[in-house]
Amino acid sequence: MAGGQKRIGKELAEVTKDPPEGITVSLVSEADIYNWDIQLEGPEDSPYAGGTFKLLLALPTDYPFKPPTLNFKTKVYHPNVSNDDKGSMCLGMLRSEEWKPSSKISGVLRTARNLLIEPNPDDAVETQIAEQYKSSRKDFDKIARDWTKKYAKA
Amino acid sequence: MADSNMQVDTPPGDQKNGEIDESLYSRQLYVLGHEAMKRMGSSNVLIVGLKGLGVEIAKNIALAGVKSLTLYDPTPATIADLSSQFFLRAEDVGTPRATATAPRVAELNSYVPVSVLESENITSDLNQLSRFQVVVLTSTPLKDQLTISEYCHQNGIYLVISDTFGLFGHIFTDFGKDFVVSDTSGEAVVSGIVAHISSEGLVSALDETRHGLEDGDYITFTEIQGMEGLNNAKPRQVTVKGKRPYTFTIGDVSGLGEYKSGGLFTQVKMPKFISFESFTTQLKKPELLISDYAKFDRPQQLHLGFQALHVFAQHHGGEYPRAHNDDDATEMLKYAQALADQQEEKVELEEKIIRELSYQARGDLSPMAAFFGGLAAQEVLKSISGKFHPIVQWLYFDSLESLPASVERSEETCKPLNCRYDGQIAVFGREFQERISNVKEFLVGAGAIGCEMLKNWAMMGLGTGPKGNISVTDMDSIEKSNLNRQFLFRPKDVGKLKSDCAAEAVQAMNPGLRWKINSLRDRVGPDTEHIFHEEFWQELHGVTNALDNVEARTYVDRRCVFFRKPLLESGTLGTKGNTQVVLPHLTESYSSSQDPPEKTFPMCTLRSFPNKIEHTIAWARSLLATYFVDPPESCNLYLSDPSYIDTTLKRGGNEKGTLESIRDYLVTEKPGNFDDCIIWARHQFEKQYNNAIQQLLYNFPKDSTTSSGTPFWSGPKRAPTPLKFDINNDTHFGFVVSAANLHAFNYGIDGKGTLVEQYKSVLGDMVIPEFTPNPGVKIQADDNDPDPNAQQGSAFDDAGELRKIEAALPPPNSLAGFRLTPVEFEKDDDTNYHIDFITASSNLRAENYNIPTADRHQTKFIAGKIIPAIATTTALVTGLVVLELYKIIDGKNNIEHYKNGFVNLALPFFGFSEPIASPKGTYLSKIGEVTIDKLWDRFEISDMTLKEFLEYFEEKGLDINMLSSDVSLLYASFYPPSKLKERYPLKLSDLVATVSKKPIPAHQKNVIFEIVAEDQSEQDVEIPYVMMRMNT
Repeated sequence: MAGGQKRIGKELAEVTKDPPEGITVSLVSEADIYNWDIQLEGPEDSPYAGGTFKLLLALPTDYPFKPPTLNFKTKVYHPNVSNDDKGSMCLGMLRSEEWKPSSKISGVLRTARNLLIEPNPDDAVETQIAEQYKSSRKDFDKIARDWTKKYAKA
Repeated sequence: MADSNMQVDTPPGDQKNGEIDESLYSRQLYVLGHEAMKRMGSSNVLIVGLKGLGVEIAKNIALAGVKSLTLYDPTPATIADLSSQFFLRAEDVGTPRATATAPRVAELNSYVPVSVLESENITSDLNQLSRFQVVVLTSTPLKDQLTISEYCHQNGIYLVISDTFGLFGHIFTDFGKDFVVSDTSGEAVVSGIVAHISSEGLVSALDETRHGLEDGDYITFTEIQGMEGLNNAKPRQVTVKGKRPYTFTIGDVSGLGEYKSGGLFTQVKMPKFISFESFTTQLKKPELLISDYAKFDRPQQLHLGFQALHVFAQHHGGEYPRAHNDDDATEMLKYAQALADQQEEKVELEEKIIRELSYQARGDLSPMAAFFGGLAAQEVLKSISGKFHPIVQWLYFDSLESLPASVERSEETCKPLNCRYDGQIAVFGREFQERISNVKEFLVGAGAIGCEMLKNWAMMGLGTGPKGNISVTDMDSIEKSNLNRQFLFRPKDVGKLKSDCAAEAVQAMNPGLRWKINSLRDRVGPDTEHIFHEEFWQELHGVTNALDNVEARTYVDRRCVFFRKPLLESGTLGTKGNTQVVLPHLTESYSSSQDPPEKTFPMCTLRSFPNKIEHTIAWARSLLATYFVDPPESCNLYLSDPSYIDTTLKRGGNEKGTLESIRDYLVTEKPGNFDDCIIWARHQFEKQYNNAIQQLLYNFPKDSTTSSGTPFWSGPKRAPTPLKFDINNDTHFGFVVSAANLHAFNYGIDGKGTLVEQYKSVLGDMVIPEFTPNPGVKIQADDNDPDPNAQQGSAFDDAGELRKIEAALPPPNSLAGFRLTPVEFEKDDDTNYHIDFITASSNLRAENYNIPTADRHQTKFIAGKIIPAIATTTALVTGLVVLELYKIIDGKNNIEHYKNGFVNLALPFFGFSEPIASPKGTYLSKIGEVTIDKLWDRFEISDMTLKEFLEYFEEKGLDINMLSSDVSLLYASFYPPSKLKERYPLKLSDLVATVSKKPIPAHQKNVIFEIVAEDQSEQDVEIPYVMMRMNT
């Protein structure tokens, strides 16, 4: 218990004092150090630009031995984010067999934001969005931009 | 399905003759497999000698299940036998041991007939052994061992000999000259995906996936393109150089062409042949398996010592040396030395060891019987099943470290008192016996390990003294599958509480435990701290875990660290077992090390790209929820909670999917009768195994390529094929039967007893529309639920759509009182269709992707996350735990005297290691370096304000950056100053209540804080936690 919580505390201090570009982090509630609110600004040069996406980062009680999970709370049109009520992000480094206890949350958040700039259609969770991304990029960009406008602008 | 009038749902629980009762043997079947158990079911076993060790072997074999079990021991029972013979009672003294024991062994398993071999002398007519496949000898004179073993070796009867003397024991095996082991490890077959095969025969596994093979394993290939000659060829032996995890070589591949792409490799288990020597030969030149590498020169000595004991007995009318008698020990030493002098290879005898063997020769300890009884029974099962590698051919084990140092042992204190503990007193002496009886121990769990533990404790007399007692808790009730190894329970106990039942059973074994067992029914956890409160913990001498899950283990471990109580931890997994000792201020704790996380599969793989049966099973498991759990729950919420739609809609996400499924389940697809359920099931088949696959292939045709130009369907992505429903295909039909019944269950419709004909007639009348992939469909809300009406080329206005669906829903009051019954997954009920549905769903998907399917048994194992278990391992592991308990009772405080154990009976492997010391650390205070025990030390404070708290630590030279309690973050140096200003004057107790929004419960006497701090060197330091005593 102790080791994990301290590590989480330290990482929270780190990303609060020195947040990755375009990302703001806070606790959902001070009464629960395991759930973090993430605000992610859509990167420039991406169809998500101008949007602010809310994500929930949930840390397991045995963090850092198990990976955190990252879910979009704002609807987003993206091949690697499940288009359902979970908004699960399919991120390679978050798979339990690829996760390393030395990985850090700041790294996870950076990778997540990079995935908005450069989706990975070969490892997609939404295969049809992936297909569209590859075959008709223009249509994809348009829907992604429309969704950003509709859901990610407060 | 030859007979179409057959009822489809004949309860599988009905046993036909000769079939394995899977509901009883379930957990053991996952250790041994059907084949091995069938062979056991045709074997007759004889056990000679029914003292503690003999009965332990008999118990384990009866539980495991053989054709028949015969017991031989005409010796009248004595009171001292009760030191370890758990099936003898005081009133049995004078009755032949086998006669008194047999009926109690027979109760353990109704499938195993138990009889007594009536014979004056077993060696007078050896032909009476000819009807047995295995003979086990315990408490048998060496002279008889020689005669019987020779007969067995000549006549192809498997032989196991085992004995214990105090803290010493041994086992010998002879399975004949031509013994075949079909599976030497019991591990699952390894398989994987090939990335490349070089012309030198170097095989690379797919990116970053470990191949999992070991040097010398055999494999076959399938689906390789180029080098096709490798496919389904004779198994090839692999070489794994330097434990490389991603590559291995398969020898010469010349003439097979050039590797192009694809391919799977699968391990093949090759039989191993072993030639055993006879007992007589082996006695002279023993092949010794090492049980403890810290004592590698001991087996040779004990081999001679055990023979010397027999020589001694021959000189003294069959009696072994008297307890702690020096004259007898000196005589024993002489015999041992004489034997040593005859050896070809010189054996150095340690006088101390041989003397101890003599001192303890009449000793009889329950944990030693448990250790060797588990081991010997497993060897018996190996001999008749050919499953797992046998012990070749001797194994000696002792636990001399368990001898107490805090009491004096002498001939006087070790002499028999004509009581049931004489076997234990002979080893440890009277004073230690009294110590054992006054222990207060807490047993957490009364399952498999719990039952075995209580048996050992009852034999030892633990807690029977005026100051002693045992607390045991378990929240579970007894289930049928428990009876196969939780041997204190009988069929009539199914449904009763485990803790009560186990307590009662061991009180009958040792009436000294009457009124001494406090049996509870509560889970130990944060929500029961009012039951297991501070006084409860303070009273205890120690805690023994007998748990089956990591969460509870971690919790108890944490409490033991907090209350500074010794903890004995153990667990089993099939033939593997481990034990751990946790000692205050000495060792690390259970939570100090981490098991690797449970394997989960990426969602992307499950959704569209499965390549293993585990993937399709996980998918099928979630399909069970998608069909039969989630929608009924949503419907019930909609019907009962007026604000449900508003809250769901507000929550965002998949409100459309949820609303649609409510509409489907309450309106469009609501069945009126069972025929409707069959129709519904048939449509789901089409949706999942045909339409969804067609759509996927439309989006990613078989010849499509990735952005880098490689074929899209390659490597881990297997191209699927849609299925065409075939009513005569058992899996197709099975899917419809199970899905229809589960759908019917949701609506309270009874489909049981429906004839095959009716299914056929309903299915035959159905017209299934041809599916055409919709090029306009770019988005699907959910793979399981494609909506052909949705036209969503660009940003869509779904608010209107949602309102449309909502309007289609019946108002809740129009369905007043109507509720659906969601399925609650239960793997062990063979009539509820849960596992049937998962098996069919998974196998159909496996057919889609051309993945080898799995049968119901295997699917149940994976989907139900069943932990394989067998009584032999449990008995042995419990024995090891109790040997450590002796040390704790003695109060040993040298870490070197304790042992953690790792065993695998299948290999067999035994490993013991000293527990790891608790981690130490230092920090720089204002007056110099301070050393701390990071686990067991803590700061103890009383309630104070946050400001005082920070100052208190500043005084110690620690600058606090962060303060948390439970999961609340109370203070962080990066919090805004205004917030900090508010918090400084708050008392810590108020701060906790404010931030966590929960008052501190009245029964809670203290609060734990975690701190992150810098010391005087301005470095982050790891410092212990803080315990605040509440003012009471």
